[in-house]
Amino acid sequence: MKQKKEVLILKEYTIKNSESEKFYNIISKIVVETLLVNIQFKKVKAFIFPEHIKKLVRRSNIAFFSSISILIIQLLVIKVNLLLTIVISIITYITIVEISALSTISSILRQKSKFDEQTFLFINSLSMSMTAIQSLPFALEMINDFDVQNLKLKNFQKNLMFQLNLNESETHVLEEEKNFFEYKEYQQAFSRIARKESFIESDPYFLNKIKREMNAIEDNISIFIAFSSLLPLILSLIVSIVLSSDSFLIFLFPLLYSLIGSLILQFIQFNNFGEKNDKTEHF
Amino acid sequence: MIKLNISDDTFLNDIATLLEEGYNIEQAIFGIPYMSRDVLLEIQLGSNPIEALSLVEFQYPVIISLLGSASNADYRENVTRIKTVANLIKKRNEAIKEKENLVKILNRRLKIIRIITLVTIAIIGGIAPFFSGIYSFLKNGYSKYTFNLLSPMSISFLLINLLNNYFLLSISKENRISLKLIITSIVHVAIVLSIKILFGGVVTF
Repeated sequence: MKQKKEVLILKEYTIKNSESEKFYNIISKIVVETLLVNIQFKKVKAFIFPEHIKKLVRRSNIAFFSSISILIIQLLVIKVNLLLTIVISIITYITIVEISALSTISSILRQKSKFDEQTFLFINSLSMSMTAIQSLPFALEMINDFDVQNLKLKNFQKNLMFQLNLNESETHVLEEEKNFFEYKEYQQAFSRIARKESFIESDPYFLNKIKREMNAIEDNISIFIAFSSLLPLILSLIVSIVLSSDSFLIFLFPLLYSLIGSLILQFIQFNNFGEKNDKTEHF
Repeated sequence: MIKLNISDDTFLNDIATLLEEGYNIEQAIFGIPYMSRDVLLEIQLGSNPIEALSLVEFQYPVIISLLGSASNADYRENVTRIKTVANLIKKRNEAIKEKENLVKILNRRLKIIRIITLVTIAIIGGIAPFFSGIYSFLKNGYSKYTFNLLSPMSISFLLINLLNNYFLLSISKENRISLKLIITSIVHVAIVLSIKILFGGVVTF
C-alpha cells in the first residue's frame, strides 16, 4: 500500500512539473509576474501568496487560449482584416486577465480584513486571560479555547509558547515578537501585556477599515451607477450608428465595458487600501 | 451544563459590585438574583463555590479561573481585575456586533444598487434594437425593425448585465454567485421581452 501511495505521489509531482514547463504557462507567468504583481498589485504585494499567483496563471492560460481561438474564428469564419482581429484578441486577453485580477484582489483584501479581526480578538483574549491568570505561558495556553482560527496566528502562538518554555525572559520575547502585528497600537498593547496593563481599545482597527470601505463605496457609488447605466446606453448608440446589428464586432462592446468596469473597481479598492496604510503611519 | 440568561460581562460586573460592598465570593454568588438554583444547592451541600460555578457554561472559560484566584488576594485588586475582564468582554462583544451590523448595512446598499442597475441595463437592452435601425436607415434610407433575442446586440447587453452583477457581488462578498447570476439573466430576459411586447406594436420603422 505504501509503495502504491508513493508511486501516486510521484506521478502527481511529474504531472505538475511537466505542466509548468509548457510554453503558454511560461508566457502567462511572465504576464502575471510583470504586469499584475509588480505594477498593479504593488500596494498589496506583501499579501500575495503563491496560491494567488497559481490561480492567476491558470486563468491567464484560459484567457490566452480563448483569445487565440477568437483570432482563428475571426480569420477563418468572419474574415475581418488582420489588424482588427489582432486588436480584438489582445483586448479579450487583457479583459479576462483583468477580471480574474479583480476577483483575486477582492479575495486578498477579504483575507486581510479577516486577519485584522483575528489579531484584535487574539490580543483581546490574551489580555483577558492574562488579567485572570497572571502568568503569560498559562494565558497563552488558555487562548486555545478561544476562537483563533487563523493558521498564521496559531503558529505565532506556538512559537511564543516554545520560546517561553526555553526559559527566555517574558519581556524580551514580547519585545522581539511584537513586530508580528501591523499596527503600532497593537504592538504597544502586546509588549505591555507582561506588565499587566490591559488592552482596551476604544475603536478597533478592523471596524475602522469596514467603515472606510463603506465610505469609499458610498463616495464612488454614484460614479459606478452612472457608469454602469449610462455607458451601455452611449456605447450602444455609437455602436448602432457605426456597425450593422448583425455584425459580430458588437461583442467588442461588453468586452470594453468589462475592462473599464474592472479597472474602476480595482481603483476604488486600491484607493481604500492606500488610505489605511497612510493612517497607520501617523502613530 | 447550566446557562445563565445574562451576558458574561454583566455577571462579572454584578459580582464586582457585591465584592466591593464587602461580601466574599460565596455570599456574592447567593446575592445574584438570576443565579440558577442548582449552583446554590451545590454550595449549600458544602462544595467549593468555584467548583459549583463550573457547572455554569460561560462563553469565556477564563471567568472561572479569574473567580478562583479572587478568594486568595486583596479584594480591591480582585475587584479591579474582575472589572477589567468585564470591560474587555464588553468591548469584544460590541466590536463583533458592530462589525456584523456594518457588513449587513453595506450588503443591503450594494443589493439596492445591484437591483437598480440590473433593471436600467435591462431596459436599455430592451430599447437598443430600436437604435440598431439607425445604421440601416443611414445606409439605405429606410430601416426595418427586427427584434431577435439571439442577435449580437441583445446578447452583449445580457453579458453586460451579468458582468455588472458579478462585479457588485464580488464586492459584497456573497456566497452563491452563480445562482444569483442565473436569476439576473432570467430577470433580464423577462424585462427585455416585456418591453418588446409593450413597445413592439407601437414603434414601427
